[in-house]
Amino acid sequence: MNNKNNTNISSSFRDPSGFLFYEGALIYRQINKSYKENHDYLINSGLYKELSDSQLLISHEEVDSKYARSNEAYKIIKPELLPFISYPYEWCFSQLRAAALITLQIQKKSLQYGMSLKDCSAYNVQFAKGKPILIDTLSFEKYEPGKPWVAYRQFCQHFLAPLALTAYKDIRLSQLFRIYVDGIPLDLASKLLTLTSFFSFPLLLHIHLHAKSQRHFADKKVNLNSQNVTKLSLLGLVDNLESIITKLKWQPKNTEWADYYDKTNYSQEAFDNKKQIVAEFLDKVNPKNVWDFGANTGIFSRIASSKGIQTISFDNDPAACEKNYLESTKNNETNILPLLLDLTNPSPAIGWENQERASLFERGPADMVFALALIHHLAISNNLPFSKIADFFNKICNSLIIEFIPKEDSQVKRLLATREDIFDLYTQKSFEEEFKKYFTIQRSLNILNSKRTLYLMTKNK
Amino acid sequence: MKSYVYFAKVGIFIFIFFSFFSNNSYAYLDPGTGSYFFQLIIAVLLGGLFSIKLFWNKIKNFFKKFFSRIKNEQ
Repeated sequence: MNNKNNTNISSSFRDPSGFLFYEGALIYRQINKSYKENHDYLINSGLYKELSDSQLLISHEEVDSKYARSNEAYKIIKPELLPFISYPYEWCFSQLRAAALITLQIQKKSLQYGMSLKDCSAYNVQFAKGKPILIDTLSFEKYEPGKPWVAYRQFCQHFLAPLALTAYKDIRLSQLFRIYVDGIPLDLASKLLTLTSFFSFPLLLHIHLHAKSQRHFADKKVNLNSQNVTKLSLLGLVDNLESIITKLKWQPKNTEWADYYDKTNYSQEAFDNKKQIVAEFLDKVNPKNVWDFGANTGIFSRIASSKGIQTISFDNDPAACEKNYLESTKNNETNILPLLLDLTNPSPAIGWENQERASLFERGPADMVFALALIHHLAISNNLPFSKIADFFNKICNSLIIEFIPKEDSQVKRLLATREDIFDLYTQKSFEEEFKKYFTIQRSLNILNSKRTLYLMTKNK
Repeated sequence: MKSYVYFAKVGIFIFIFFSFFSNNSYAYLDPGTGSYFFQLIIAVLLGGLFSIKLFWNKIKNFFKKFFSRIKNEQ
């Protein structure tokens, strides 16, 4: 992660209760005096202990007040450091679903302890050690009897609407998150959802009628003080949301990459040899972390993660990402994080001043990148010259394990089958020349029984 | 059977929804506040359904325990 010495972190500026800031390479959170009562209640009621012990809320330690950034400071805390910050538009279906369910679980627990969540932003959930965890310690407020759940609308926009849209309509609609930074507007979700969604009582309620009601009351005057919501009703609301989210399912089928390994053109022997070479190269560098681009279901990512290396397993196929995540949860894997990413259009910086959510580049560079069976897609399917590809890897990593696949390979032939071959410069020589401008080739090995070559490269000093 | 339950739920909801709409008007509302007001209405319905669910679970648990005791005694 980039070292942003002693600056405030722009994702937390909206909250008057406090903010996050860098002090050297470490992250601290200032809790303002205005939040004192709620913070003390969170700690003294036992809710913080219960949630952090069950790994639902990020743990923190209190540190010296000398780190305070303003007179407003009540306390300074140092939250547990996360290896990587990911965003909802980078999550697969089951990751967003898991994040939604822990949010509701936390709200239920909070109500038991006399508190309630005042924020329900999906960005407040992160994946650490393979599991979703709430990272915003300032999201809690004391429960006031009779008061409705203030974060209800946000929950529907950040969790229910995208989950319903992806489950009922199309998985690609999760990308609406990139446009709507505060979740998907309910009137839009209502318009896009299929007619069958009207037959789900919770969706009829929380999306369709909710959206209608927003429109109905937009220019009306009503007396808000005349109504009370009992705690039982709040628990009923949470229970109803939980029941629909548990029922929402997405079954990957007929996608391009999820069954890619069944369609590869190389033998089991070549495949095993490729794994062996990757493991060997990895041991040579022993990186702090690995980003695997075009990871598919994460077979090669797991060579790194099984060695205890923090590995992000990126792929642009939602089905591959979903399979990868489900496997990681099934095996309780803690060092691998599957994420959805289109490398030709990576996550941009979004939000206020384009600074609220960081771009992929801002969250790098990675110590090592895997680019296995990827280069031909970038160069041929996306018309990217080797000079541009080499420059990209130079910006995003310190070392690289990259596979070159020549034109004679059947996978490349397949890509060229329906288009004119305008790629005269797609040669191994030209590939090496362009990459040598930024990297030193430490090793290169041919994969047994194939025409492919694996390279280990480290960045030029 | 399921569809009867569904239409009963919708019917009850629509009744409650419109009975609340006839309230006095005092404050100007933006769309976010419309959402807040919507929650006041549905909370009544969902609270009721939740009570029934809790009660039903209690009955189910009672019979589960009852029959497992009989089974054990046999």
